[in-house]
Amino acid sequence: MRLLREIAEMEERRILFEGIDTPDIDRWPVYCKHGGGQGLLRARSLSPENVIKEIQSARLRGRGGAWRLVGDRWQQAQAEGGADYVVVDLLEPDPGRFRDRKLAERHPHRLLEGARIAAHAVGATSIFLCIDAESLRARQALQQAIVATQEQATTIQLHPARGPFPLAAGSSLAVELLRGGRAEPQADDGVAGLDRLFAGSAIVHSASTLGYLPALLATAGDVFQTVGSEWAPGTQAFCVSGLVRRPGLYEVELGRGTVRDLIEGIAGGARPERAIKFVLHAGYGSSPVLTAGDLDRPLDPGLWADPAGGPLSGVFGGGAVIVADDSVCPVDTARRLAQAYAGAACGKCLPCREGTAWLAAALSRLEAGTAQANDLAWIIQRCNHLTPAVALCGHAPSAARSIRALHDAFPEEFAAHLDGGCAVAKDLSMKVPDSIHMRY
Amino acid sequence: MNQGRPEAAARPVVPEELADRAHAIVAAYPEPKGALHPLLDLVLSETGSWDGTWAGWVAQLTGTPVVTVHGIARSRRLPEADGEEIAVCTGLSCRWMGAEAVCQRLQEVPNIRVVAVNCLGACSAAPAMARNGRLHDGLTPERLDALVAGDR
Ligand code: SF4
Ligand code: FES
Repeated sequence: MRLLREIAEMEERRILFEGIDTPDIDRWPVYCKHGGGQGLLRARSLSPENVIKEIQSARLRGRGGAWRLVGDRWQQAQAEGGADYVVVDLLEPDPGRFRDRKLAERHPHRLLEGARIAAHAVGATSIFLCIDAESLRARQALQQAIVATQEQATTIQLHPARGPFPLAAGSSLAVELLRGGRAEPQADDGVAGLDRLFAGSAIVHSASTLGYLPALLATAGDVFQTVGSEWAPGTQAFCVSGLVRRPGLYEVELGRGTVRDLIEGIAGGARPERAIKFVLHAGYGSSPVLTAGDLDRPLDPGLWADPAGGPLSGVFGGGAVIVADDSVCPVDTARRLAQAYAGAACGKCLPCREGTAWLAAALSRLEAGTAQANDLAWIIQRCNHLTPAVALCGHAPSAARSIRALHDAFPEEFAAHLDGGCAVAKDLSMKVPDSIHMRY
Repeated sequence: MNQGRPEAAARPVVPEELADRAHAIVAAYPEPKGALHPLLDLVLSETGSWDGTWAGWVAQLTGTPVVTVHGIARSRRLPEADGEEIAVCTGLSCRWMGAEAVCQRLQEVPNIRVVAVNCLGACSAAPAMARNGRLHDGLTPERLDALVAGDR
């Protein structure tokens, strides 16, 4: 039986995507007419130290998924002599995530302004935008915006690279692509500050993080004063996709409302005659699985980051919310995820390369009803084995965590596949949602 | 098509305009090697596929060993040389919203190679596909039929 719970009214609160609905906001004169550029102007009237102080007191955290304090990273960069390059990570290989791409496609000047503010703060003279070469629309919008705002102070260069890219690879992947290396993450040196690049150093930020800077600087941090939770002020733009009535990109206040408010409220909930079965709260690689009982979790990354927060702790992720209803089989989902991870593994670490491929094959057997009796136990064992200790980046561990989480949420359905297959009446027909929010 | 090792002697004929663009890209980096990925993309978007003879050109421009360029290129998602290719997203959201039906419909069309890809970054407007690099999302049976019928 489905419990009827109260769904709070959830409203959009746009800071990152403020002005995105304005026609032609991707054109420089239109952007300026609507207040664009003020943040950078004000930033440049301040010393880098004061810009850093402002961002520190605003407590802006990185939106890529690690939620580190941006101001503290900048201060550390300054202490290490500043950074020569700002690298904007627009790769977004995680399933279900498309926020940075939308920002680049539709609001490119916002992103460039934010990147220039960051460059001012850390003393960088060059900005590289590292992007999936196949994101053609985003590339075009960014290139036009770069040409429209060419200036001497900071050079901006688009750096297209072809996928596939490991998921949850961390900042070292973008830097390695800039070095002209293979698309392989490097071992994390444990320093949250700078990466080595060319004969200097670079600071890597996700595009969405930088997109907050224009508004923060223009208002001296005021926009974050009353918005968001104490741990993470501000908003998060959630990429809601899958089987809901109104999928889309929703920027909402952090700490106000729950996962349920987001999915069943603003995104319209399940389709008629259907019920939400589980939600992958993904991004940054890991995909914790929320079942019906978990949906009342508050949308506050601080609470999820609590070390005592149980199995979901630390995995608030980067804002991808993939919703499955009761027409979805969790084993099929695990197989599909495993295939995606296997296809994107860079192959540097043997346990990842072999392990993700093996998991994909074993889950395919399980799904097809041809698995051996001990296959399921092996799948779980492999997942337990793929820890950060055997992998250079977050790719393999997050693959393992996602598959394990699906199993732990639906152990009976996994076990049932050992005796003849799937009991879910899958519906793979083409579906049309009621509407798509922020589509463009 | 040469998909094997690049022939040392085989060098592509590089149109002047392409060479100029390549040099401009290299000049944007403090070290030429930084331009490697953008140059691979330039070759792929200009020639439509990866022919090993280009490895030497990219290697020369970036000061990278030919074998490294070739190795990196071959680890990337490369389009096939001939025929039209449609990449259908079979990521989770697209799968649930009907990617399989999209593939089935496209497979009925002659002279189209359907490839399954992971996520095209249009998940809220699933199902999605990319044709000649152009994204088509929010597919419905009608839109798909119109797209298929469209310019053929
Ligand atoms: S964990 Fe996987 S993707 Fe990450 S570096 Fe190792 S092989 Fe590559
Ligand atoms: S799942 Fe198809 S576009 Fe992301």
